Amino acid sequence: MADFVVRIPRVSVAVSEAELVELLVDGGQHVEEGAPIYVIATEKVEQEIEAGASGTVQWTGEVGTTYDIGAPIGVITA
Amino acid sequence: MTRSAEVQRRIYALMVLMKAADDRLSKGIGTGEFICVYWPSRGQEAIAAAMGISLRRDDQLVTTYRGLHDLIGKGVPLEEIYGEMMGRTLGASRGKGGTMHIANPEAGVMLSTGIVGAGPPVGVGLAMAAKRKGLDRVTVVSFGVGATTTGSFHEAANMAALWDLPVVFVCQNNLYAEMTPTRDTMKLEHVADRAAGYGMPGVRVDGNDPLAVATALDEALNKARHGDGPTFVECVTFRFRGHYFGDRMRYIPKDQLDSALAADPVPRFRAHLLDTGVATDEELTRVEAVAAQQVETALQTVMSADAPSIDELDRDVYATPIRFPV
Ligand SMILES: Cc1ncc(C[n+]2csc(CCOP(=O)(O)OP(=O)(O)O)c2C)c(N)n1
Ligand SMILES: [Mg+2]
Repeated sequence: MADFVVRIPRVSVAVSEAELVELLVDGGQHVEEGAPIYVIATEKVEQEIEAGASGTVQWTGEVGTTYDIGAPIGVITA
Repeated sequence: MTRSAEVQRRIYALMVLMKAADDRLSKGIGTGEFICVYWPSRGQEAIAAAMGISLRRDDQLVTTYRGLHDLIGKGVPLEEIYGEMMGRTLGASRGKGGTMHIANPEAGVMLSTGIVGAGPPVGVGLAMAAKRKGLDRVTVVSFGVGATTTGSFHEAANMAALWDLPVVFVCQNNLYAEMTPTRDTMKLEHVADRAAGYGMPGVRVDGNDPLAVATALDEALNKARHGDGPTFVECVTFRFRGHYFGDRMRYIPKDQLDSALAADPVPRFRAHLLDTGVATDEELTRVEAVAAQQVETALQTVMSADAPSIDELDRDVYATPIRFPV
């Protein structure tokens, strides 16, 4: 399967950006599809985001940075 | 009325496809795989599946932004639905309309609207056209409870009853309009009671039981088709993902959500099929796998399709296009 690019999701209709506030899994670790792997904050609300695929995750996003919706912050390699 | 095993299996296959299509959108948006805006229909599948088996292909449907399940039931190809939601050329409106604007006249879907209460007058117009043309097709208008508190609903219901038009009003009562519970917007306990005010029958059914909905629909469709006018069918149900995707549902009491989830129409109908020996576990598991695969194939087709080009901008908008400067 192709690599799954981890992107900032549009979790709500009106948001255009989100802050990456926490990585719940270290880079190089295995993640399971559906398990929470990072936390974003939009409109002062924090939310855990689930892995869209299973595999080894590598992060490119920096905690504390605000990203546009759709911005890549990592990749999951099967 | 008892339904054949074949019809019951068709109902289940439709419900499962509707659920799979909703689940896949939710997963894809939630994990950042793709971006699209939608109003989830998860939880309301029994109503749409009943429409799917009860309506003829030439019967017409008018629905709303929360229409994924209705569109699937009426036979709109999944690629056209997803394609429109994600703004791709193979969308029902060539990717220019978005989630709220999906129509497919060949399948009888004449309009999806984001304007609450706008559907009923259009449905009445379609029914009037059928009557004047001497066609025996029926128009079904699907909407929520919020829509019944609009003036346009009142005008439409009144005219439909007065002129015995071949229309069926299907109210999918999911107990909320955006974040407001129904009891805060109307004095009546049962929405179906509104029908009496227009001189048409109003029936209230368990909207999580596809067989009950189909029975009510068949009677309403039969009446409408034979010139005996409209019926208002209230189907009581729930929407599991809130108003729009991303709705945190803080306004829904936990016990209400829990009991609604416990009445989830999909596992409930599955259990019914097993209990009555209509299908085996292996058969139903296969139906579920086929639905998931169908959804995945449609999604991949849509994801690899193009967004509409700039030349498309004013096509289908005016009969004689005014070329917009770009
Ligand atoms: C004329 C109009 N007023 C207000 C809105 C904002 N709005 C969008 S959905 C909605 C609630 C509609 O509730 P209901 O008819 O019960 O349908 P449901 O969303 O539950 O399917 C409202 C008020 C709108 N789209 N159109
Ligand atoms: Mg509602």
